[in-house]
Amino acid sequence: MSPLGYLALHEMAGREGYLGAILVTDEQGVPLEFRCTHPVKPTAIQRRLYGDTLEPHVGVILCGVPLAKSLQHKPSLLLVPQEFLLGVRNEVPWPTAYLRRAGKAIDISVPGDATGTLQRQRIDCVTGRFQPIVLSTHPEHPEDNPLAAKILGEVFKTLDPLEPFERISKALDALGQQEPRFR
Amino acid sequence: MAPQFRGGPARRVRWRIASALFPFGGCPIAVIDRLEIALVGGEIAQVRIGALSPPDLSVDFCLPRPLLVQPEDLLATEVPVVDMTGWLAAGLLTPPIHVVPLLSGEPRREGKSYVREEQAELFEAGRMAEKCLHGLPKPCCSTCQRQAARQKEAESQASRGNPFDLILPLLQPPLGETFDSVVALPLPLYPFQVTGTKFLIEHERALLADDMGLGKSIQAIVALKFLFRLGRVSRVLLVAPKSLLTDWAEKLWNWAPELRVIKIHGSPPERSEWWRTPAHVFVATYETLREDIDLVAPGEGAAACPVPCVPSDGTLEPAGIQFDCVLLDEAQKIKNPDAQVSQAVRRVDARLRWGLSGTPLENRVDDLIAIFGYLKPGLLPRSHTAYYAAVPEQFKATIKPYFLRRRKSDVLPELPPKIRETKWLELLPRQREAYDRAEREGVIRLTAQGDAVTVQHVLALITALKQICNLDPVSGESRKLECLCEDLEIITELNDKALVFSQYPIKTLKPLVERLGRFGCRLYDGSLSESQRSAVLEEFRNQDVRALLMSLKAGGLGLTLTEAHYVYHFDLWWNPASSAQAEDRTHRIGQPEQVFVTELLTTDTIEQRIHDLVERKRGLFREFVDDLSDPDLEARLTEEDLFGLFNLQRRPHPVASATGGPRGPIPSIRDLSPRQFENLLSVLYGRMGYHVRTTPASRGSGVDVYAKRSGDAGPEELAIQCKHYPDGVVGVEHARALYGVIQAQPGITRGVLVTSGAFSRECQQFCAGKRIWLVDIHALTALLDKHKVALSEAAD
Repeated sequence: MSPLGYLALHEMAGREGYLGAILVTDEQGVPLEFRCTHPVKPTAIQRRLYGDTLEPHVGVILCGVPLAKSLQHKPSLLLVPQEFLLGVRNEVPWPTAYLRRAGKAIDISVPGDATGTLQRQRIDCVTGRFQPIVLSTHPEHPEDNPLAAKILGEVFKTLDPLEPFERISKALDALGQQEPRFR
Repeated sequence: MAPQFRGGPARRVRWRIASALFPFGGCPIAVIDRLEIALVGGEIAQVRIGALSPPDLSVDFCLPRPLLVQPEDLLATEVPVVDMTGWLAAGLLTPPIHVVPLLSGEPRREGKSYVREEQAELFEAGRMAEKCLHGLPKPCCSTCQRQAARQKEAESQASRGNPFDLILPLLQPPLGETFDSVVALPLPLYPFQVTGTKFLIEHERALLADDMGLGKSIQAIVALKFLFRLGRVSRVLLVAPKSLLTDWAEKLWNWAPELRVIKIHGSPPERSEWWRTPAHVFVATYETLREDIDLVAPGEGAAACPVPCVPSDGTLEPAGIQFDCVLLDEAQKIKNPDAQVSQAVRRVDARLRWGLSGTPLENRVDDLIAIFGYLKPGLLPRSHTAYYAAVPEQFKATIKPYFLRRRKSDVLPELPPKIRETKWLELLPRQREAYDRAEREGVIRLTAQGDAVTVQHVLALITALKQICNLDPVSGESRKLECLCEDLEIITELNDKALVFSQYPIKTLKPLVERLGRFGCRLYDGSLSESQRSAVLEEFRNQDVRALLMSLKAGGLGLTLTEAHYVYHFDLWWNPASSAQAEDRTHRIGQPEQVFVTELLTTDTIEQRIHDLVERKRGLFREFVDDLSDPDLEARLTEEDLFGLFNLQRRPHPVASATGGPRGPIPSIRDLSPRQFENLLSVLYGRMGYHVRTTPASRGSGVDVYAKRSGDAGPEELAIQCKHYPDGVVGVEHARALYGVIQAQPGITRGVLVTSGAFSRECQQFCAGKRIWLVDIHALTALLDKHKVALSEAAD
């Protein structure tokens, strides 16, 4: 069994702050482990001071790396839905891949967006059940790319690797409704 | 100490300062008693300045014109020196320094590993070698396993409140478009189960009324799984009969292990604790809900609060608990709207309301109206009961969007058939003697009671006689028992198991347990606690127990006992549906082999008479009331029928006595004159809410009665033709004539052909699909009974 990890930075409703979350599933998508952070709520001044580095800082330094290191089940591949989260790759030993749906528009106005510089690889679902995806890996870890492509090629036959991020989002919303400490 | 100035011409001048202002970047200004000096170019070495209020500034900032004096004059004058340091220190404060923190502290993290501990291998060599305290291999000791289960439950309770348990359903993979996920479901669903599951998902209010054994509970669980994963429900109340709680808990564990299930049980304080426990599914009995309804849904004025998952103060919210979905298993439990359980259920509000029932109607429109009164309030007004009873097609059309029923024969042709057999047995000599004496004395007692005799007296005698047919309590003789023992010998040799049902747990089943001891029988009846029931079922399934003796009420519903392939009815209930329910404990999905059903009945006894009566009546009501369900003959048997079992005359109906007056009672429909028969129909339809008009005797159209009323579907007018043919058959020509009449009169919505006899097959075929409703003697009897119309009311 090769667990897959899904790391995401979830922006709270009303843009009040962020929660980091990581989900580990088996190859068939069954959850093995889920961890999340309490909210990080930057002030208006902090948002100004950090500028475009805010989300990468919160997502990688404050949430992503600590969450990844706290896992009991080590994933064979860590998937992220935001490009800046590739930054965790320098701190974790697992191959890490940024995933997006093929054809999804990229906001090129965001300064520092390095999508254009990342190596991209399109993966099609051989069963035709899901729309194609595009994966990119950290530029300093080119060895991740073929590894990630191989694992995802297998997984993509039976499940959509972007779907677990929707679960994470719903779970965090539910946590916020049930528990004040996650609001 | 005076302030220190540098570089100014007044370096050595003394003065007294009353107050001073030193604006940053500006020229310092001092107010010095009566003398005022502007120190051009002067610098202050040190100063601490606090906040000055605007009024001070506005008052003091506009200084009066200074009086200039020569420095020499000042030097000549001795000016007292005043130390202003303290004043300055008191009046001026250090400004606060604001620190903008960096986002450097890592936020707290929480989470959970959902991987369960590996289950013990049942036949693992090492484990099998280990002996427990009771001297058994550990995996085989049910006592130790129960203790382990209790321990697990206690740990589960200790870990309650973990929000990561509650979000687990949201983290599960999708079920697939047709619930075909091999990961999410332990077994693939049958196509009809997929349809049923989708039916529930797509309907917030629904009654799933599939035949028993088709997996209604599985369909409901999968539907709940689906909705939980979408986040559309977060809290469900499942209400079920007591005997099914454990079965539900097991099914939920097998089919939806991600759901946190709480079984509400124990003393009132314990139950209060359970209700407060955060969970996905709360499983409770109807009786528990009735007792705890003030906790769950307090009275009017207290609105349920949203998402009260974890009460912060440890108490249940005064506003109760809000459920997203209420699931009523065996929903016919609320068929009596005045019963306390029905009232309690009605107080529980929920967006989704589903009912499950194998026999939802019990063949009575009233019951379905009552059930939908909760599931879909307003769909079937109780005031329209008579209307729906008279127009069953309209009734079915109304409930159709919310009602799904499939028969086993339709959807599971591959299920092995039931092999049914009725064994007619002669009573043993002393048993016969006891029976004859009891019946003779019973009939004498009934006769002696005269007018005071009621149907209850008759039923009591029937019960006593049936119990003797089962087992003579004096001699202990039982022909049925002998037969059962013979069969159980064979069943034991076949290494098979049997279920034995009876209505009488004390008078029949308990003596049987002793007499069948060599087969390792177990008793399952209503006196057992829930844990005892679970233990009995576990023993039956896993140990060398050949027969399970079950009371019809306790064991007739919901249980899955496919380990047995033989079913014995030691006695029969009035309603064949009850027997069928009992048989379906084993004849259901998962049963790969044939099921043999044996009814043990005794000849020349009350059992044979009841059997003949039931056979005569069954099928006739199915035709009339509901072609979907088996008839509830219990509700359809008349007092005449029951008295007739002992060749006794039925007593006059109380209503007849009250209204009949000097006319006296009329014994039966066959004794009515044709005109009285028409009168009877007029009274009946008047009682059903119609405005009735009878036609003159010399009518030409053939219509005897016109009945009209307004309903939800608009005005309705019936043309009723009466054919008083006791024991006769109404031919197709009468139906053709009536059809011509309603075709010629557009205002008539339906024709009704009523007879005191029967209809020919040709007549029935002609009316099929036409706007003609046929009412034969049996349907008429049922309607008269239902609307409490006495025959005496038909008198001229």
